[in-house]
Amino acid sequence: MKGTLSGLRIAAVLLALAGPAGAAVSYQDYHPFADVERQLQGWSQDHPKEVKLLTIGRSSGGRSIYVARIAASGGADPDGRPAVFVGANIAGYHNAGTEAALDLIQTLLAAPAGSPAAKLLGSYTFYVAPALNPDAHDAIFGKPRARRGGDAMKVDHDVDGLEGEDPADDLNGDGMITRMRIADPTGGWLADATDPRVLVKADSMEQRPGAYRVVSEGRDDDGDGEYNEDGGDGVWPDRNFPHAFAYSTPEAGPWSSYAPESKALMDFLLGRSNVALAVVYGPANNLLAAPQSLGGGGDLGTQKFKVPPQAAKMLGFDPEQEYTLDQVWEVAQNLPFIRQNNITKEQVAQFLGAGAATKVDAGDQAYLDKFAEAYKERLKKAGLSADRPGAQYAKGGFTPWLYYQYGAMALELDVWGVPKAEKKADAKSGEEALTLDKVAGMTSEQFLALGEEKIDAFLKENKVPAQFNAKTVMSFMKGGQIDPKGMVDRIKQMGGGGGGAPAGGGKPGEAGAREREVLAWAEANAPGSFAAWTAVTLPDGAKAEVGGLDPFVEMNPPMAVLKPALAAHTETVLDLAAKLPKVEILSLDVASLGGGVYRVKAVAGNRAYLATHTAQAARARAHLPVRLTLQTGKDVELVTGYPSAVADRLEGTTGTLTGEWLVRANPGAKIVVDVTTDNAGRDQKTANAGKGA
Amino acid sequence: MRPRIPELVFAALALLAAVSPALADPIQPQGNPPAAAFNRLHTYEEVVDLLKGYAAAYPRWTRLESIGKSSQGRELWMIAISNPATGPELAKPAMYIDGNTHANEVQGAEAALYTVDYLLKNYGRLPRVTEMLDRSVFYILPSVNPDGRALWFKGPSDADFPRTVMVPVDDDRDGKFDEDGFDDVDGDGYVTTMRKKVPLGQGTHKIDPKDPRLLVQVEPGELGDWLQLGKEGYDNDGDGRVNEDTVGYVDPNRTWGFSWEPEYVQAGAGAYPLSIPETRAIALWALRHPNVAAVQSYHNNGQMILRGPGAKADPPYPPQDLKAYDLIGKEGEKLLPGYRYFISWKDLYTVHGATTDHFYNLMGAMAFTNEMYNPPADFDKNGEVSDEELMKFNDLLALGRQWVEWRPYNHPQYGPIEVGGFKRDVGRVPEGWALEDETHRNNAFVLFHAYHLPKLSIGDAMVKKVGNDLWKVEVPVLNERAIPTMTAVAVNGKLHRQDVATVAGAKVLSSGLVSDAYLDKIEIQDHRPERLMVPGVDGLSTRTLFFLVQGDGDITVSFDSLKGGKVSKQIALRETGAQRAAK
Repeated sequence: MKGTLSGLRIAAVLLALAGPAGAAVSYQDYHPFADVERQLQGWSQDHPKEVKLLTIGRSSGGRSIYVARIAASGGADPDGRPAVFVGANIAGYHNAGTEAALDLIQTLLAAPAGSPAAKLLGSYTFYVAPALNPDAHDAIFGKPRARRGGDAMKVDHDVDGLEGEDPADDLNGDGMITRMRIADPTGGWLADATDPRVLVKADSMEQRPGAYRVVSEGRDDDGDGEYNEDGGDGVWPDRNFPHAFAYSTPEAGPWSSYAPESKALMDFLLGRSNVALAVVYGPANNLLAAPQSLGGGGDLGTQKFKVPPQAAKMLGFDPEQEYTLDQVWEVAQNLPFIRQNNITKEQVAQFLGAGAATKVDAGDQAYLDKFAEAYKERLKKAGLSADRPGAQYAKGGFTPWLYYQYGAMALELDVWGVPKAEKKADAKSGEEALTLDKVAGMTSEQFLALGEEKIDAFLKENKVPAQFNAKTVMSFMKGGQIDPKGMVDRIKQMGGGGGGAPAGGGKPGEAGAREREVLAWAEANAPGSFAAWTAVTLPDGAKAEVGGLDPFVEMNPPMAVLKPALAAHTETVLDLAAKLPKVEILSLDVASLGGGVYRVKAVAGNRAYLATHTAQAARARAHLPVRLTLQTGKDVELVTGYPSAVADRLEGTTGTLTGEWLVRANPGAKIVVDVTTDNAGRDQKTANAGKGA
Repeated sequence: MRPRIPELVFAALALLAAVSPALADPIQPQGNPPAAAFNRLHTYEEVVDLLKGYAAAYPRWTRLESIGKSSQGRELWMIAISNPATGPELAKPAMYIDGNTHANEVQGAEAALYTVDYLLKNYGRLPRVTEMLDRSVFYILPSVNPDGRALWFKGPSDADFPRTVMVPVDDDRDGKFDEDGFDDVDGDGYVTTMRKKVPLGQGTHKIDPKDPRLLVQVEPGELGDWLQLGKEGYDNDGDGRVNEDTVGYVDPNRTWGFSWEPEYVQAGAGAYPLSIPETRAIALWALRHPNVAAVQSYHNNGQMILRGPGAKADPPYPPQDLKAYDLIGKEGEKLLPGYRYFISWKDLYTVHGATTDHFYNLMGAMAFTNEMYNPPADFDKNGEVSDEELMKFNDLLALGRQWVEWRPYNHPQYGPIEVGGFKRDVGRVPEGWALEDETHRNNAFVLFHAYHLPKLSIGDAMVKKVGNDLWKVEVPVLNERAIPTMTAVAVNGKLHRQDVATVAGAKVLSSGLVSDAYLDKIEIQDHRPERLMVPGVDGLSTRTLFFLVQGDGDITVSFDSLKGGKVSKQIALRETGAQRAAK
């Protein structure tokens, strides 16, 4: 009967609201994978001209990996236009990213004719992949709710010969997997004195003895002494890419590109080299914290090499001295042996033992810095925190691969993070608080002018270790060893990582202050997201307590909280898309030299904001170079030389490439010049050979 | 509790194997086995025919399997050889052998086939071969790169080309793929070299005064009248460069999963690790065959027995593993006169993403790369083989077979030139009469390596009563060969599951590893005593297991090693007296 049914439903809702630990957070506004799938299919049906839904592969659990290709119809082939790639939730537990990606598609498709977004669709292509880790995607709706990064592959995480035999267990029945503390004097953790919800590390110097062993919530199902160490999820696609891949890490896979999700993504992107800019929605935020090196390899720009004796003799170098790669190449490239065998600079670098790039190139970072300024402004305007910490991407992650190997201008954005608690303004003087960003914008002189007292307070406020007191910092700054921005970067490096550090089963208490901040936010904004410590008894009789923050809420807040961040990020991506590189032929001059001979000179340039190639792309030889070509044929023949001039990259706004040719042409013949690129479009210009002097 | 019947039977079998009965009978082939000749090279089709021939003649002892397809769709045929009566393949230690990863390094396939032939025909005749086939498995993939092999035999090719697999790569980054490779410009079936006579003063070389077929660089102060123009080819794509975008260029020995670096650091690396079907097929196969504990990958040339690390930045090998590596490598130098046991990065050059580094660093197997052959033409014994000495070898030992005489040719870019030089099977491949010797010696080295696959047995246990129905049992597990059941790199890197010891017939209250049997030092495993995790049994040593059990009668102790096979033994719960098993 109808009445009974709805009565039941109400009862069920009431029951759900009044779960064992009170009202748990609901993620019902987030899209499960099936809904994402339906939504994408719906869009491709409703907008057949703009949207092409591509299935680029399947997850190890057999689910489709989708990319929506969005571009206005007409004009150049969408796969040949400069393109932005936006990929979300390859992490698996970053569902907020999926929402942001869907918001972007929605915004693009709803853009009224003539709007800036519609204009972008006329010139560029958007590849948007809202759910890149389908097997993990629905963990946020799981019962119990546990954070998951792995696909459906079978992995023996603890290499004991058994697969998935010790997953987490919801011991307190609150529907989520949080943390567990077991009384253990060797455990290394204790309750924070100011907030007993927070755990801090034992410390000899601070006279804090350990009281607990801290693990994630669950039984030791396989009785091996480890808790929840083999949870049945598979390889983490976001750890399975080849830049700085972490070997001997079961969740990263036996080798990079092993996970079908990461392999499919690389195949897709490598097969379509028009992507110039990539935004990953994931746990890291490269605009709130500049990307750090993941270690390993070598930095070619400054690395110096000893040339092996035999080669040194051949090249005329001193085998005892050290040279940069450029110095060696300048001599080596002209040797007949090098030329006849088509030996490349990269092969010489390899011969000298050079490693891969490990740091974001300074030129590329300069672009990121500019993006960061605009991004923070936008966050502030949207009422979002712009000085909260941003996490770093991990080894073997998707974003570092996009930058270091695929060669895109790539960045990861976390869409939303727990805001930094607001600072009280200085009561005495009513001055504004000295935020990190404010200091970063100062000159050394301005900062020094604050005086020792204020600087000291600023350093303490930001938890700078005591050995860097105001005096030391001021003397460094006076000596030019550091400037305010460099100092702030370091402070951020030391304190960064809050946003990406796992709340459940990670390293609780490591950033005690940030954790308290997060808990305070959760209490006020996401009721039910924190479970107080509750006593449980483990099967072996050991006493333990279970409690902590919902494993998703730190990255995936209630939808009402997330909404303004979605809009701000869609706008950010649209802003970035407007900066895509675009080549054009700036000038084409044909001068007659008499006798039917002409000098043709063409200048191609990139007047757009971004360079055609990142500096890293040029080093990694990712994407084809910019090529300026004179079309030759019956009417236009080269007197000497070759039809193409090439450049490794054209800088944004100022970059140009000049081609000069000596041709014999029939009077009135069409002189046609093309400029072609992988990811910055193409252009053509035509002139006529004059009647001749 | 009484042990179950199958366990008793298994224990009895193990006991029988341990006393090593009289030599088994040779394998009776069905029909005529292939009469392979190892004094000549074989095309890909001939290699496949031979493999099919062995599989047909020895159906119970072989398993022919295509483990995948090449870039152009050729089958990757692998033959597995083992004694069907001594248990399933995966329960026995295994050796994997491949050849011809680099298309031009052809004779690795012959060396691999030689082992197939040798094992099948000598089982029951030679005790060492018999023992190896009874207790271990051989997986042999003669040609990793069948497409490249096909191209090498047919051309255009030379001694150095192609190494690559047939995946198109735009080497010169002009948007076109493989459009400017080598050409057999004079149509004689060989890619040799081009040279050009020029007016005095325009050249870099002159005719070698000792041999007019050779050019030498001019001495300081001299003018040259010859140019060396490199290998046969045209500027096919009109960009002012010759042979700069050849067929392929992914190097199958730079694509593997360990220490992989992108193209700009490691030429030939491919788009990402194992991006090509050939090596990915092998890597996935290897994941399904964790019993592989020994690996040989045949290459040429230079007469080297190589081990990793491939790059200076890779972790150095742990000393425990070096014991076995050095034993096998140094013995190999004796079996293979002229060969040197080398470390890749230090003694040869840096290699990222090599086959053997993948097998060692990711699979935990002990892997060597043999670089076969060096032209035996150092007549003056100065340590180097000069061009003149190569010519002497051609003239007097090969009676001129190796050399293609200079012939005039009118080249579209260079004008009148001369074309000539050594044939493709010169320099890296022995002449027929030396090939059989080379394949046999390499086979002998591989069999020495395989002889040292871990060989486990359980010795006499020490049993002591410590209470009512309560027994302390110490069980020595002996590995009588050099390769550990778990390499240190596998233990440290958690590459695969550890060896597992279990007890049937009594309740296990506690278990552990005995570190000093005489001083009663035992490392107790804190948890899950019924599943004792053992970080391997080192080569040529004994690992003693400890169990505290509750029960009476007999127990069966089983030891299960991924790479060392499985052994078990029935032990009576009865005081054995004072003698203790040594560590």
